[in-house]
Amino acid sequence: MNLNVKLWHSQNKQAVDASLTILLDRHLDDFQVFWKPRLLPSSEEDSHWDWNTKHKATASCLNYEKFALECEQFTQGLMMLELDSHRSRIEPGKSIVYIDFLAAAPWNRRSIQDPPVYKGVGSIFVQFAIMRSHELEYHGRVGLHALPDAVAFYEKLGMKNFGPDSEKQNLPYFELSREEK
Amino acid sequence: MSFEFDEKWLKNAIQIEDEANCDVQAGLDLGQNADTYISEAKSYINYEKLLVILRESLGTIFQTDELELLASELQGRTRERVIQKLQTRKSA
Repeated sequence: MNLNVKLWHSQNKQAVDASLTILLDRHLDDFQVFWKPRLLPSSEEDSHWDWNTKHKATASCLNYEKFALECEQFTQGLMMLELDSHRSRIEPGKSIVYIDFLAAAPWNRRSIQDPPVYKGVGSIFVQFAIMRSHELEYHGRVGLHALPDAVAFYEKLGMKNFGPDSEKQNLPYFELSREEK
Repeated sequence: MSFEFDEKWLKNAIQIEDEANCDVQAGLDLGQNADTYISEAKSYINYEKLLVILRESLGTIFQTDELELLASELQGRTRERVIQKLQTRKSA
C-alpha cells in the first residue's frame, strides 16, 4: 500500500510530495535513531512511547493496522489503527475505526519546533482513518482518545467530545459520526 | 466516497491545525505520567460511588454529613498511601 499525499513545508511555504505506507522496519529505525533522542528528554506527552514495542505487541493481531508517513526519505509520522474492536458511542453497537496511537515526528510539532518542518501530518492520518472507515463500511465512524494537548484540534475537526473517559486514564474520548464527514 | 489528499485539501487541513494551535496526537498510554494521574485520588476513586457504598452499608449508623466526611477522609488517606507507594517504588 502506498498512498500519495502532500505535506506543507513551512519554511518554503509550499506543498511537497509525501507517501503514506504500511509501517516497515525502516520507519521503526527512524523512530529509534531520529525521534527518540529528541522525545526522551522532552516533556512531550508521548515522550515515553516506544513504537518498536507497540509494533511487536500487536504483530500477531490481525485487527491492527500500522502506518507511516514518509517525506524526503524520513518518517514524518506514525499511526496505529484498531479495527472492529471498538464500538461507536454515537451509534451504539456499530463498529468504528479506532485510532490507537498517532504521533508526528518531533520536528513536525510546534511544541518542539515552531514552525514545524512539515504541517499536515496529523490531519492526513485522521483523514486516512476516515477513509479506512468508509472502505470497511463503517461509514466514516472514527474514535480516539486524544492526548490533552491535542483536544483543540479534534474539536475544530468537528468530532464529538465525550469528555474524560474514567476507564481510559481520563483522556477525553472523541468520535466522528457519519454525519460529520 | 472519494478522498482527496491534494494541495487544496491540505491547505484547508492546515488552516484547521493552525487555528487549533496544537499538535495532533492521540493514544491511550500515559506510561510514566500514569504515576501523576493515579496519585490524584479522584482519578481512580470516585467520590460519589464511594459515598453510595458507604451509605448502603453504614447508612443506618451515620448521617449524611458524617458519611461525606468519612468518604473524604478515606479518599485522602488512600491518596497519601498511593503517593508513599509510588515514592518507594521510584527510590527502590
